[in-house]
Amino acid sequence: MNKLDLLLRQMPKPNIPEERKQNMYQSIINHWEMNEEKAQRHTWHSTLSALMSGFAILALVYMIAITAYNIRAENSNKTDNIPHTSSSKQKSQEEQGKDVQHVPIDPIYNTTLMLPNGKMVTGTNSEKWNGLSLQLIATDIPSGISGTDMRAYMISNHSSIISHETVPTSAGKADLILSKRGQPAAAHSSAATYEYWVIVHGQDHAYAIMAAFIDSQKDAKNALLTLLQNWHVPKEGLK
Amino acid sequence: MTNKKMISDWFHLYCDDLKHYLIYRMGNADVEDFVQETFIRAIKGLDSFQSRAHPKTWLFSIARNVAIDELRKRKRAKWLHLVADHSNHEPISMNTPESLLGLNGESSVIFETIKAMKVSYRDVVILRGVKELSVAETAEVLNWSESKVRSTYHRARTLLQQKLKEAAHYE
Repeated sequence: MNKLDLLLRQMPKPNIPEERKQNMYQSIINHWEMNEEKAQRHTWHSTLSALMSGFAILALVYMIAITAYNIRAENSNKTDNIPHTSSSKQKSQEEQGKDVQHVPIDPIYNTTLMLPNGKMVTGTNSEKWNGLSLQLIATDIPSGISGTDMRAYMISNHSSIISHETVPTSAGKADLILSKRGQPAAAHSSAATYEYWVIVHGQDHAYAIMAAFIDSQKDAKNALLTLLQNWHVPKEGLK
Repeated sequence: MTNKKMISDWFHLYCDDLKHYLIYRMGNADVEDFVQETFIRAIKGLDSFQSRAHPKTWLFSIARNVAIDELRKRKRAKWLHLVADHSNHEPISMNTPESLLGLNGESSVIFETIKAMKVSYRDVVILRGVKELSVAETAEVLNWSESKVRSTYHRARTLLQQKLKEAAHYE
């Protein structure tokens, strides 16, 4: 070993005084503890955010699934989503019948429509046939209503009459009305359904076939016209 | 061993070694705050500590970074000071490193020469010559190859010898 190496090794190397060393040690340990606490807090926050993200994702998936289900249900049952008229006496009887004991229907409201497939539409039983959703309505009419008022009375709210004509039926000459039904304001929807109404009436009672459709208007009309000779309406009601 | 115990052991084992290194690296006797800063940085970077590396060389490399940052900061502060007052008033202190370290004659020349050397020479002289680290340890601290450590140390020693000769000649 030469002189230079020796000189370098012998250069002064003062140590840290013991008291100062203790203070430094304490500061370092304090810093370590703060660091640990911060790391634990960070871990806890990470776990919490991971959990919250998980919940948010689940909620999102749930909402997507529900929306998809609703859209699917809406598409497959579009013809079932037709609003029912609230003025039908039979209808109200039907609704009441769901909740309370069955009440025998007065024969004057007993209207039926026989379909080519052998099924029968009644006041309490709607049917689908050939792209039509068919429903029968029998109701009392207030005195003094006829013509345009009668149409408006039967077809009720949210509908606008597009056209009307007279057609022969097994119950006599009837009004064939094409109407467009919008959704109630609460539904916040611009979707509309089209309906054909066939209406006959006497002095006190009116009877209607309501045929809602979503496909071709012409096809719907032709299909409906083929059914009109099979429509039974009580003769007493047409007096 | 828990991290706390590990830091505690490292502190008691290496705090003086780090002080010696920082005194010569920074040319300043008052370096205890930087020793503390070295350990604080070590705590922050504990996750990156590779257990295969020796803690001593890891701590030396952190201390080296602390010194580099501090010297850079001082240089910037000095420059800003010059821009502000266009004067060059160095703080006058009675506690010079020479008086605090008790340097005289050859040791004073060595200290001043180390201080004036370019940083690569300074690092290798302190680690190999003053702190007596092996070539491998020095290479690990400086992140150099061992051959670079040997050649740089050789050049630095030559320069030191020359300075010592010059000093002796003038005396």
